[in-house]
Amino acid sequence: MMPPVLADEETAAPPWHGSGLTATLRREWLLLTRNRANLLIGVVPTVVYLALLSTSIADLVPEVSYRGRPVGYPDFVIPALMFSALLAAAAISGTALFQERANGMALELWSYPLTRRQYIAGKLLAGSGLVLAQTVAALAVSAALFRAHWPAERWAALLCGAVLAALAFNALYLLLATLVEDVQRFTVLVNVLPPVLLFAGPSFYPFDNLGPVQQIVAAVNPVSYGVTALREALLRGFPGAWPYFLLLGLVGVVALAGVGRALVRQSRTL
Amino acid sequence: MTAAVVATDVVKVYPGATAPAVDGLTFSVPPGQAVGLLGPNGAGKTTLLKLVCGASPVSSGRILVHGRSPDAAARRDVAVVHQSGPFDLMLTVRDNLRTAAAFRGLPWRRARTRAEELLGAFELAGSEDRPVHTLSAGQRRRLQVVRALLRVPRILLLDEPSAGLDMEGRRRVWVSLNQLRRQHELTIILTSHYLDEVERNTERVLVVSHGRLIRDGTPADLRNEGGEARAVLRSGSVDGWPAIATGALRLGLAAARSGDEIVLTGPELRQRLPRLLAELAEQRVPVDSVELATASLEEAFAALTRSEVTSR
Repeated sequence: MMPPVLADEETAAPPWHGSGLTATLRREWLLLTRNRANLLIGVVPTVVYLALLSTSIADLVPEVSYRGRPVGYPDFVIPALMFSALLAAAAISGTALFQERANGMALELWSYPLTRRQYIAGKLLAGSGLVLAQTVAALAVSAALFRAHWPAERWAALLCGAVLAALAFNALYLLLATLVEDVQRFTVLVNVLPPVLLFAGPSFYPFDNLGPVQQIVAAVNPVSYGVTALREALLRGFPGAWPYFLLLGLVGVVALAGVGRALVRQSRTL
Repeated sequence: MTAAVVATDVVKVYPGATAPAVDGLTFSVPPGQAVGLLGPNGAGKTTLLKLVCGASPVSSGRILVHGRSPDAAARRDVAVVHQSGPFDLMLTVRDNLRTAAAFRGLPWRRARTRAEELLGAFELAGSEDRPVHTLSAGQRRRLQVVRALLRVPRILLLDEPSAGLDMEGRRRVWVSLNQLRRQHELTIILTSHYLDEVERNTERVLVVSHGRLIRDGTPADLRNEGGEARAVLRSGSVDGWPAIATGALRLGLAAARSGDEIVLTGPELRQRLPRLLAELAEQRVPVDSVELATASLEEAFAALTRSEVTSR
């Protein structure tokens, strides 16, 4: 049998091309695009909710009172439905990070010339890209179903809010994936958290209509602020939404700092 | 010349562990050397490789790779075949290699030819579109080697590279690696439970036990230290065999008949054998030939780790 023909001088030391960031982005892209089931899981429930809303629920509840003025229920609830798509996509991103540790890929990745900063940035950009794409898809479906007539400034504010919410909540899920060690606990958390957090806030009802206990829960529920940011963007534009945008940015930065620290801690256990 | 790897008083304690996995290791590996890392399970071999490749930080002490701490930049020169065989299992062979190429600074248009060449060399041609989870354990192990060699590293760390490989697979891997060593100044640090593999392919052996370095030498040094494993006596007359066995037992040696030979084993065999032969000569027991067989690396290693356990 012929011995294998291998390297020559040229293949030994070709110039270095790219960086850990582009490599991480490439890997994430392949992981996301090759697993279409995850994309469907992220999008289909939201589309179903929107269909239900447009065909029946909006007729049942034509409008609600928001900040003292009447608002059409579809306009009120569309940010919450966008957020459900956002949470589902962020959960996929967090799960991917958790699985990386569980299946040993973390060890392989940290053997490459990759810095933590490049890794986190790659994960965040790719994950947030997915989150944003799914959120915008939900928004596009909503706009088509409800024949949206929002002014351009509201659209701009809504997209800006979607970007910030995608970054913040993706970072929060990455943090969750780095902090939780036990696979069962993580699985339960990642599956139970999105609906619980979505319903334990002013997503589908105005804050004032929530019960006293629900109002306390909503006050400490990060999803409340994410939904409100999008709602303010849609209903009042940048003037109403900017404090929430600031908050989302702050949450994202703090969560990312936490991810960085958790990765350092994890590397000691590899 | 800067050493490929220098470890100075390296200690690694995993969080929550009661004992260090690596406990004060100090050694240096010059460029181009192939080193076998031997030790029983849990001795700290895999941990040491993780420290050298920078995937895990040392608790104290220092590791230098070509004179630098194993940070991201230094890791450009290092490739690893991890024992756990990690892959993105849902991705195809091609996608896994594509990702690895990106992390190792190779554009895919350039790495693709190399990947195809390596896949052919390791009998994985035609598997490019298969998800990795559909490959057998041996195929995955070979794919790991392919992945590690996409860009020829200056240091190659191999943690049980032959686990799951059949004899032909092992042979092909080592033909390729030795070919690379001839072409490049490739430093190899290898752990393996196949001691014949270590003996054939390395110039130096580090034996670790309980995280400590207990021997550092050539495979021949280690074999010699293990002493003569056995002496084979041939006697033309079967009448002499009981006398040989009795004499051996009196000197504290074990005797076993194997065909027309008597195999003697035991401590200080080299010193005790002449006394036995003298006694047999006095008794006029005919001995046609005596052959001293050196211990294999495996026997020497087993003796060494046994004595280490006893001394603890």
